[in-house]
Amino acid sequence: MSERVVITGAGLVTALGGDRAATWTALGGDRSGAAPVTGFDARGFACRRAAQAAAPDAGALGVSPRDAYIMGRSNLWFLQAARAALAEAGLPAAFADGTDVGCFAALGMIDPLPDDLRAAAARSRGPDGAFDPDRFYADAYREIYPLWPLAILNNVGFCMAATCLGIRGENAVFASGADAGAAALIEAADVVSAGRAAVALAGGAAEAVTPLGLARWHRQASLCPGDGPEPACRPFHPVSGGVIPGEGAAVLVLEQETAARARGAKILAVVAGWGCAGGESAVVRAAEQALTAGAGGSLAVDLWIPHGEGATARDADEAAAYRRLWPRPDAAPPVAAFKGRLGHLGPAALAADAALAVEIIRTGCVPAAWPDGAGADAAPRLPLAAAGPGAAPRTLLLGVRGWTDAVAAVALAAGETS
Amino acid sequence: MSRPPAATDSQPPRRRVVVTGCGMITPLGRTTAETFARALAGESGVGYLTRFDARGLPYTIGGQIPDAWLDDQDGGFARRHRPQLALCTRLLLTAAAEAAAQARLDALPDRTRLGVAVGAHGENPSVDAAMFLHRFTDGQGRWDTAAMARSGGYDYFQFYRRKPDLAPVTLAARYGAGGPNLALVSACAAGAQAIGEGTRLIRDGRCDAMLAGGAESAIDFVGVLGFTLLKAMAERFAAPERASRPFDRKRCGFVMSEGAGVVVLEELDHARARGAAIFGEVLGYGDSADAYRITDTHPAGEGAVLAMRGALADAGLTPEAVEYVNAHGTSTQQNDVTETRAIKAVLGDHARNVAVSSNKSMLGHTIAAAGAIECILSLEGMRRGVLLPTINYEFPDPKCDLDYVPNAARNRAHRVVLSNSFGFGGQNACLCLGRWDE
Repeated sequence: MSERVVITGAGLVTALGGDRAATWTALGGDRSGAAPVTGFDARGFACRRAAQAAAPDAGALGVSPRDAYIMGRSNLWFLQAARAALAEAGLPAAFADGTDVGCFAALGMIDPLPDDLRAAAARSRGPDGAFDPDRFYADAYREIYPLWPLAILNNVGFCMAATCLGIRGENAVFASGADAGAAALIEAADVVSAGRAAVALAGGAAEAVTPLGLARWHRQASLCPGDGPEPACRPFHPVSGGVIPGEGAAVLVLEQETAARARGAKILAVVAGWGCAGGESAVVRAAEQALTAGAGGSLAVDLWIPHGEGATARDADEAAAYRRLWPRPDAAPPVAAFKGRLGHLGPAALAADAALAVEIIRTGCVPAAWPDGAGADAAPRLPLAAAGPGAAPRTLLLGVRGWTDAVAAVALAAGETS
Repeated sequence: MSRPPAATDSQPPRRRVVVTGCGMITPLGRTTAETFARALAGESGVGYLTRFDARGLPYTIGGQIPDAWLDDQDGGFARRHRPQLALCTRLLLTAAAEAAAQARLDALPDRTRLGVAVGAHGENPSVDAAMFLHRFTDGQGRWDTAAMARSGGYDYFQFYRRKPDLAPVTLAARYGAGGPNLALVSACAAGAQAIGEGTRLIRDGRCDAMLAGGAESAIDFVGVLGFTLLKAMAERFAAPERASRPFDRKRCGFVMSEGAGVVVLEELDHARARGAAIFGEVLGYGDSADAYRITDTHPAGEGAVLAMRGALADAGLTPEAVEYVNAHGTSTQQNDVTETRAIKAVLGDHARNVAVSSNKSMLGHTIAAAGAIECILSLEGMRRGVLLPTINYEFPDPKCDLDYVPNAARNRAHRVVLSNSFGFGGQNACLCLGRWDE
């Protein structure tokens, strides 16, 4: 990196709160965001719980009903997190000339909702009441709302946010898993480091939990079955029940350190390095890149926040990588994981972990990986950080792993580290 | 003839990125050579839609790729994995096979330093799938998911075919690419963004080579319906092959097409060390957002201006160095006027000296693939010293008053090209490409 990149704002929306402070406070207790799915009858699914965020208030975000329809819940959470991050950074809510402001977003899949097609489907019914394709193709499709195509564009969340915030600089939209969130953060840091943008937003939005979305979750992850209140997602627990889908968004504001300090911005964390890899040993290689990418040689890690999704096999892979990265137990860092509390935020997962890393650096506290002290009688696969104050980590290594096994790692350090 | 930014005391010289392999599949041909030859002759790849029944739709044409062109060019990889591969991924594999063979990628020793960046959007949901789901809702937000599960559920493989990130991951699996893997979903800018981001990954030393490009196949009912509802398609034409007419006064919308383009990007010394042939250089990359309206481009083309200026600045070149612009040129009333304005804003008086043409006049709009295909055609044009034409240019539009290379290719040696890609929703990308002279 040519210039150090720092985080000056971090917005977070999760099932535990509509902002970072609320989420952090809830994490300090014993709450989990996981709960039975609401909004639709999920009884047909094996997994019937999710960490669902509160519905976004489009009006409060200055978004018209028309634009709220185009954006959907997921992209409204992205805008909500972006606004919070900009406010914390002391930057305008909307840039008058955003040519020097970049934005790199990781967005998930957007599903066509049957309700969007309802009128067309109703008009397509034949004499027997069944759907008649000939009627649909002949002219019933004209009942579809003309802006519906916009609502299913993969990049619509970014485009609407850019319009709302006046962002006109470098950008990209990545899809669609947790590794996409890493790409967003890494490319944003690279753009800022190289001076191609003065400020860059980096983050992602989790897919809203819908019937079709939940069906897809079942195809791509090992989910916790059932809908009981027990905390079944326990990353690195020997008998974790599996993954819990999560909702929300996280957005970070990145700037060059010198510029941020010059304008008096509070430095929440330094982006100290990054790496990404695929294939064999990807977790190890990505981590090693992240720890050696910055100036000043290899970084010592005080806390590792791996992907830790709660699926037994994939957690075991990360546990093996941990032992390769730190073969000496006495020199190995403790581990934190949040997906047991917030659910799996998909493309927003890394930025969410980064937002929480900011709080860990600020407070010196590490929240418990498992809510309610659940499974405390079992020895975890990795040495989980002791919950509560006292840890005071200064350098944290974050990791994510996409559905397709693309892996990325990002090192964050306390602001005063040089 | 590239001019990378000079080294300073504080920074080492920037790593240069060259193109060592090109591949494409388009409605004009199954390879770069076939496509270029037919484009050189000013042929159109547009015809009436046969992929699905378009009766009832006001839009009935497109640039389609025959099924017979697929699956036989990559050693059968796509055929073996066909159920989970979207058509765009099969197109991508075909284009990548040509690029990889040209670059002799199989001889690359360290695959951990080979990355992938692909612009693609996966498969559209089918009407059948949407209507299948419709059976299980009551319109009041209540779903009978138990019945849905009992019915056998939703097509297992469609989950995978719809995921945009399956395209780059499949490419990585095919070529054992263990480096960074990016899936870009920036609409019509995605292919160019993939090449731009790939260039940066190499420059930054995060890998030595990249398979980068884009792929799209949205010629299905939902894909066509979407743009029809937005009134963006060419619905009036004398003949399908005359419907895409960028910069012509009687243009009335774009023509949906499909295809894929892939380049092998490589760090210069890395390419030289292994004796790879070099076809051109990526001199610069710029991107921007309109931040204007979701359905409209900025009337002055401000986002396009930012992207083009960014690419030139990244290349360390002045506007006077540009000799040809491979335009986004969609054939919509709005794009072609604003792009003309933007070119004039960036190049100033020099715009009058610069040839501008649109490959979409022949190929139609391949959406996420367009930036990659047009990048390759630009490189090929520089290598051969020829400018591809804008066909169907019959009625000059006073608002589009540049040299659009009308109707016939033109022999002209040129060394620097800007290749524009402006995405629906307001994402813009521009590649500055250079001829390679040893």
